[in-house]
Amino acid sequence: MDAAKNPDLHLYDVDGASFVAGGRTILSPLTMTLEPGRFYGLVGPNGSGKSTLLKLLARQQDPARGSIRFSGRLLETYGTRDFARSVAYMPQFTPPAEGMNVRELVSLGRFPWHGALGRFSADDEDKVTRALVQTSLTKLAERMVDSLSGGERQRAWLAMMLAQDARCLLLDEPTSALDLAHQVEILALVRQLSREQDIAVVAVLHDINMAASFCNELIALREGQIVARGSPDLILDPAVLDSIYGLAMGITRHPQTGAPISYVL
Amino acid sequence: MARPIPLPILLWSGLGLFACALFGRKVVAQWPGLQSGQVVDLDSVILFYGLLPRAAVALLAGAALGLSGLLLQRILRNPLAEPSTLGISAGAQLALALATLYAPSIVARSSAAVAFAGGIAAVALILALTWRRGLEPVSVVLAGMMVALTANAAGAALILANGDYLFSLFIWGGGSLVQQGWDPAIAIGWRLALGLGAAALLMRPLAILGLDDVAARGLGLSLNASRLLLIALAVWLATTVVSEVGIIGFVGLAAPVLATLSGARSLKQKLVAAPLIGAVLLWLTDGLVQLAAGAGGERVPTGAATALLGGPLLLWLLPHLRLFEWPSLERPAHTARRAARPWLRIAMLGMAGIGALAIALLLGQGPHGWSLASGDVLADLVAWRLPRVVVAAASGSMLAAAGVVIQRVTANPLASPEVLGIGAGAGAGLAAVLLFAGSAGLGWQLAGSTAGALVALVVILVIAARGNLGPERLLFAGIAMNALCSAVLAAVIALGNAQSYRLLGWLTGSTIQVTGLEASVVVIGLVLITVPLLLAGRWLAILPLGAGRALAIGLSVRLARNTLILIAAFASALAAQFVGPLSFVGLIAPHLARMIGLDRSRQQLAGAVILGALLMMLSDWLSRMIFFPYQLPVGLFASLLGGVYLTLLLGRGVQRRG
Repeated sequence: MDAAKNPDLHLYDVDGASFVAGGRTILSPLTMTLEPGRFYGLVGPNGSGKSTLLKLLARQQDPARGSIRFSGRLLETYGTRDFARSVAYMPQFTPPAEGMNVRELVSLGRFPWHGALGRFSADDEDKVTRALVQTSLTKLAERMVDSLSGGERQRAWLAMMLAQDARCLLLDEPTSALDLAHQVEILALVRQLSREQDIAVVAVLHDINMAASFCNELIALREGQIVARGSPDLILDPAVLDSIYGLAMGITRHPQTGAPISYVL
Repeated sequence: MARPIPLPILLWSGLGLFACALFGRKVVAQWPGLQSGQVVDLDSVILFYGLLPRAAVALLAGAALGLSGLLLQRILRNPLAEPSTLGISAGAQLALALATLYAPSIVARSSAAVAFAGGIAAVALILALTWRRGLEPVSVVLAGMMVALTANAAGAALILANGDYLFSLFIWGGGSLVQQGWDPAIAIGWRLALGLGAAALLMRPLAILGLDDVAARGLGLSLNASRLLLIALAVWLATTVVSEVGIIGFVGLAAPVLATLSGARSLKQKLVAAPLIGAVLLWLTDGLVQLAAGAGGERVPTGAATALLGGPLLLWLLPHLRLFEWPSLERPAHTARRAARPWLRIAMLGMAGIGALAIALLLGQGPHGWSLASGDVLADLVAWRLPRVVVAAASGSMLAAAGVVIQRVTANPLASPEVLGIGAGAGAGLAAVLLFAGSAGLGWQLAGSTAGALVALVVILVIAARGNLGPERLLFAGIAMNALCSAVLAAVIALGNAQSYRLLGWLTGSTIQVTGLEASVVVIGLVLITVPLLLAGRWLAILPLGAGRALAIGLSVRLARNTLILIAAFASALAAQFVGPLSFVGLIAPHLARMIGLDRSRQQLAGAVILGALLMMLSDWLSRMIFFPYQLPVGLFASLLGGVYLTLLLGRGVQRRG
């Protein structure tokens, strides 16, 4: 109860936020809190409102009702650049960054700090270089973004978010277009960054097993409501999975790590 | 068992009755014998040789256009194909104008044949251009628009060059349904009957052509033969209408779409419904035009009125249209290599620009052949040449700047002030100013055209945002906007007064009469436009990534976008004031800049601005030299150059996002 009184402890405070589009309720009034430095996975079937929730958190859309606070401040009280210094958001589809090389793309992440006319300082340069190092893109820095492979391109966008120097990353299906090896690579990178730099991550993920093995906590949505929330061990349970997906699923254990793995019955 | 009559049929019957009532009103007014004391019964002459044939022509032409549009849409699998969007009407009109001037005997023998030749030439050109792209809808309509615009500009230049002699041609070009006899009605009528018969016979191939190529071939259809046959049939119907009554836009587009929306599902139903709806539409429009004209005589040609109604219809339809999913384009094998030292390259471009300026001022043709001017002759010549060269160069630069901005804001490499109809919007604004104040000065004219350009651009972008239009639909919206604004222009031009000539001159983009004052206005405008844009380089770099992403990295998208749009509209309007709406420099210059390796926002902008100036100076110089001692309007010349470029671009397969 302490936390509820002192919202500064929370990264996000969502209070009765709902979203309606074209007369259809996408998100029912939803209340939750998110803590700093943790890796959250948003899971649930198609149309459950995962992406919408993420967009509300990213301030890409405004809730129809209710309020969302970030660091105790209402989202609408932030200036555009102000907010972008704290929260970095990656939409589901990455557009082709035509006529840009990797370093330039990553440099765009410094926009919230230097603005349209501000000088690109040595500090900005350092942050960009660091983001390139963290994502192992230093060698590709001068390559054109369009010429990269899917996994490399996703890393470049991730590097841009890192250069943004935010405390919170919001990722909408960061692995949807990638093969298995690259999915693991990206998620491992995100987890590592989250741990090392104490960055909070909220990611929409489709693969429940993948989400369970990388996230600290899973938040499961169905039809615009949170149906389950907790550690991967808690969520990967036949009854809980059935309530999320409406599908009979079983659980087995990873032969080496002992981590739970779900499968369709 | 009385089955309820379906609502759409009721609706169309209602509209038909309304048209009937409008017609009846006119008939009653002209009924013979009401006014006594006339030696010749003038009323019955008007009734039988004016009113009745006019109604017949409206019905028949509407039906013919509806059928033609249906066939074209079906064959090309392109919901926006119709005689006017494919340039068939404009091609036919240009052919008629040319033939009237240079081979009047042919026109006298058979104007329909001339029109058919022009229409077929236009379609053949478009098909040839887009064949390698598998007749992909966007390419087809874009090529059609290019052909139509160029043909229109060429037609306007012909009229300007030949004065009053051809002016009536332009009025007729607006699609006036005024009749003096039964011949046109008969001419359209028997062709429509033949066309309907042929379409009924070819029903099965037509049905199969609605599938994709592989399926059609799998069903054993000789694809190209039946396609070409049906296209020729559609062109024949449409050009007949053009040769008899002029260009009537959008009926061919609207009728099939409305037929579908009214519940005509099968091809057979559509073959019945589309011509009927086309007939009702045109008859109704014509009735309204006559009603609006009142006693004051004919002011607005019916063809222009249909475009006025059809343009908004198309804009409204766009988000709802289901475009046939086309196999996506393959990406080009290579993108241009980025320049190692871009600013050096820009500096070199700048030098080239100065060189071109010098050549444009110095080198010219005189009565005694080519000469380099110097000394006193130069001083004399510069007074004439400098203003127009400066105006051309600065206009080119502004169009290029606007092009860079629009391509980056919409993230669409095919967008440009010309393609999105912003130039035409400027023309509509100018027309409005001239209409209300015939002697308006440059300031008011500029204000009018800027307002027009801004309205056009904002409407396009709002529609694009509302309907979530991708790059392709955005282009369609631009085409609709072009058609709409051109209709306003055509209506004002058809008034046939001094302002009409001003607008015709504007349409072709002539720098012949510019003064030093205008040149300085343009240069100041150029500086006012490019400096803020260079400062907004970061905006221009971020916006192509999309609104969501731009917002995510802290760019207030609305502010950035609105500012840039305002600048782009002003630039397009100011440039169009002098070089006309359709130079295509705004499309080409940004591409060229990218091709020579300038792809970062500021560098692309700087490069494009210089390239735009170069292109325009070249066009201006060529337009003075090629037909020496005659001069072509520079805008027309630039549009021809641009047309060739766009053609190559389409043929090669431009890289698109999606």
